[in-house]
Amino acid sequence: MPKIAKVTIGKDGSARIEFEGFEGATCLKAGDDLNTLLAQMGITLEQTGFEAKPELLAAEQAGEIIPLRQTIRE
Amino acid sequence: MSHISTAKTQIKQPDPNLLRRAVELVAGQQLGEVTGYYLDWNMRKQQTPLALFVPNLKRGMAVVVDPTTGELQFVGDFYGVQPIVAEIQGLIIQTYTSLAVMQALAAQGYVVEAQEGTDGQMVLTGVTYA
Repeated sequence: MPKIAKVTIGKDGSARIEFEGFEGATCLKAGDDLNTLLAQMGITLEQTGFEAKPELLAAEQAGEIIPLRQTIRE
Repeated sequence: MSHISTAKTQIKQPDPNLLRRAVELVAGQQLGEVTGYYLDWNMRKQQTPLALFVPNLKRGMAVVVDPTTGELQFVGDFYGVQPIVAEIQGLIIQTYTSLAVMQALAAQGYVVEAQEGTDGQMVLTGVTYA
């Protein structure tokens, strides 16, 4: 199954990033890696929203990751 | 599906080559050109490393990075042309961000495809089987 990262850039430069096909919490690392690479090109993404999908919620419930609500607050 | 996040974009210390490519693309899309100068209020040439002219922006616009803060700035005499200036600035920021995202996704091993979305959005889709 492919892993897909879909990034929609608005006319104001705002971004909507959607990760699909990742197992458990690996999408969070993919997002962090993307942010790190973008920072090297001078781009900072200031998160304004976050929606977890079932696979990620399952990983949270299984204790694989820090509870998402806590992560987002940080 | 795993997660969706939305974010505001800030650009500081942009990559010079990527910025030039973004300005070239915007100038090309708008049937304009990239130059090494813009025109001041008195139509005198002001030399600058990167500028562009497009129709309806006859004095041009310099695209510079503030050496102190690293912020992206747009310089010129914009009297009477603020709407087109705002549009071009937005396009440059959107194009720079899109090029950077494409480069970042490719560096992560994704095969990237770019498409125009609705309302002037750019949609970049990266696929990997790794």
